[in-house]
Amino acid sequence: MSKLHMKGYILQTLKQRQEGLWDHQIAQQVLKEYGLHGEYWRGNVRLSLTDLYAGGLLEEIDQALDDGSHFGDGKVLFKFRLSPFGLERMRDTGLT
Amino acid sequence: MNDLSTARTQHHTRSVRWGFTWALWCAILWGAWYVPGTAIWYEAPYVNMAVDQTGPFLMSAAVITMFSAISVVLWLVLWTGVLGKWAEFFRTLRQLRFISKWYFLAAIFGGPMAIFGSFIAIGYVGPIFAAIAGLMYPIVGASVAKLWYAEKITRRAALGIAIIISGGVAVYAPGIFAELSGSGTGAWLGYIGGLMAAVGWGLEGAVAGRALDVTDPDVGLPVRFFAETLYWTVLIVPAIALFTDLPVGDVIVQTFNPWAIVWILLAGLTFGFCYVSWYKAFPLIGVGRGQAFAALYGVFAVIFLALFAGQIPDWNFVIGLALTVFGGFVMYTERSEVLEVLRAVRTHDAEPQDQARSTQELGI
Repeated sequence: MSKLHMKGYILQTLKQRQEGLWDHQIAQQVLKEYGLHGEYWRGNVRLSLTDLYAGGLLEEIDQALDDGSHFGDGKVLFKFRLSPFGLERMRDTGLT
Repeated sequence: MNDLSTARTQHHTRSVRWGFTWALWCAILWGAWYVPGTAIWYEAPYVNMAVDQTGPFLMSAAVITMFSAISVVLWLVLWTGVLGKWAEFFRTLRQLRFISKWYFLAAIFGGPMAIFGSFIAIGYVGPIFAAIAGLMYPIVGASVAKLWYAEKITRRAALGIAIIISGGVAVYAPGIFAELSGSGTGAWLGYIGGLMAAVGWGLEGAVAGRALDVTDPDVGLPVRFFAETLYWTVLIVPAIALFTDLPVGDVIVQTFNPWAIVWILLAGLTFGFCYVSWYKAFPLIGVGRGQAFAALYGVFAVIFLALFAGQIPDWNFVIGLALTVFGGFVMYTERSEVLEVLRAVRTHDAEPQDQARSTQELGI
C-alpha cells in the first residue's frame, strides 16, 4: 500500500502517464493500491479528480459516455493528464 | 456527440452546484455558531468574569477557545470515522514537511488569531459586532495574494475592497468615537479581537488553500484542528498557567458543568461542520467564491442571534452588514458565468492567460 495520501498518489500516477488516463482506470488503480472496494471509494476517487481538475492541476483531454460498465449508464467518463500547473504544485508540495 | 456534450455540461454544473451548496451550509452553520459562542459567556465560570479585569477575561477567552477546538476535534473524529478516512488522515498528517505544515500554519491564523479574536470580540463588544467585523477577511486574502503571489488586484476587486472597508467603518466608527470621547465601555480589546478575526480568517484561507490543492478536504480539516488543539493544550494554556497567577486550572475544572459543556459541544458541532463545508466548497468553486458566498454567515448570524438571543442589531451594524456582504460579492463575481476550471493556469495548449478574475482564486 502506498504511504502517500490518495491525491498525492493520483498526481504521481498521472505524472508517469503523460498520455493521460481515464477516470475509471485511475479509480481502479487507486482502489487496488489502497486495498479498497466498492462504489463509495470509486466515487470518492472521482470526486478527488473533480477537485484536482477544478483547481487546474489536471487537464481534461477526452470524454466518453459511460455505457454502464464503469460509473453508471449515461455518466461522463473523463480522460485526464497532469497540467504544467499540477506539476508545479507537485514540486511545491514535495510530491516529485 | 450531442448527448455527450449535454452530459458533460450537466456533470460540471452539478459540481459547481455542490460547491455553492457547501458554501451555503457553511454560512448557515457559521452564523449559528455565534449563538453557542455567545451563550458560553453567560455560563459559570465565565459569567463571573468582569470585562474590566483584562487578564482573567483574556484567559477566559483562551480557555473557551481551547475547549471549542477540542469540541471540534471530537466531532471531526466522528466524521472522519463515518467517512472511513482515518488511514487517509494519518497518511496526510505524515506529509509534515511539505503538506501538512500548511495546515499547521493555517491553524495558527484560524485558531489563536481568528477564533480567539472572535471570542474576545463577543465578550467585550457583542456577537453581532464580532460577526460583522470578521466579514472583512476577504480584504486580507486579496492583499496576501498580491504580496505573496504578485497578483494584481483588478479594478472590480478594488471596488469590492472599498465597499467592504466602508462597511467596516460603519461597524467600527461609532464605537471607536465613543471610546475616544470617553463615553465608551472600554471595549478596545474587543475591537482588536474583531480585527484579529478578519486578519486570521483571511490568512487561514490563503495558507490552507495551498495544502488543499493536493489533499482531501475531509482529512485536511481534522489535521488543521488537531494542530490547533495541540497549540492550546500543549503550548498556550499551559504557558498562561505557568507564567501568570491567573486561575487557569480552576476555570478549566469549573467549565465541566452541564450547560457550559452543552454550549461548547454545540459550538464545536456548528463550527466543525461549517469548516467541513467551507473546505469542501473551495476546490469546487474556488477560494474566492467560497469565501464570498460563505460571508453570508453575517446575515445568518444576525438572524439567529435575533431569534435565539433576542439581540437586535444597531443601525450601523445593519449598514455595515449590507456593505460587507455586497462588497464580497462585487469582489468575487467578476464574470457572470461560472467556469468549470477555477484558475487561469498554464496548460499544455496555451500560455497562461491574464487573470481578469478574483485574485484569491490564483495560486492559493
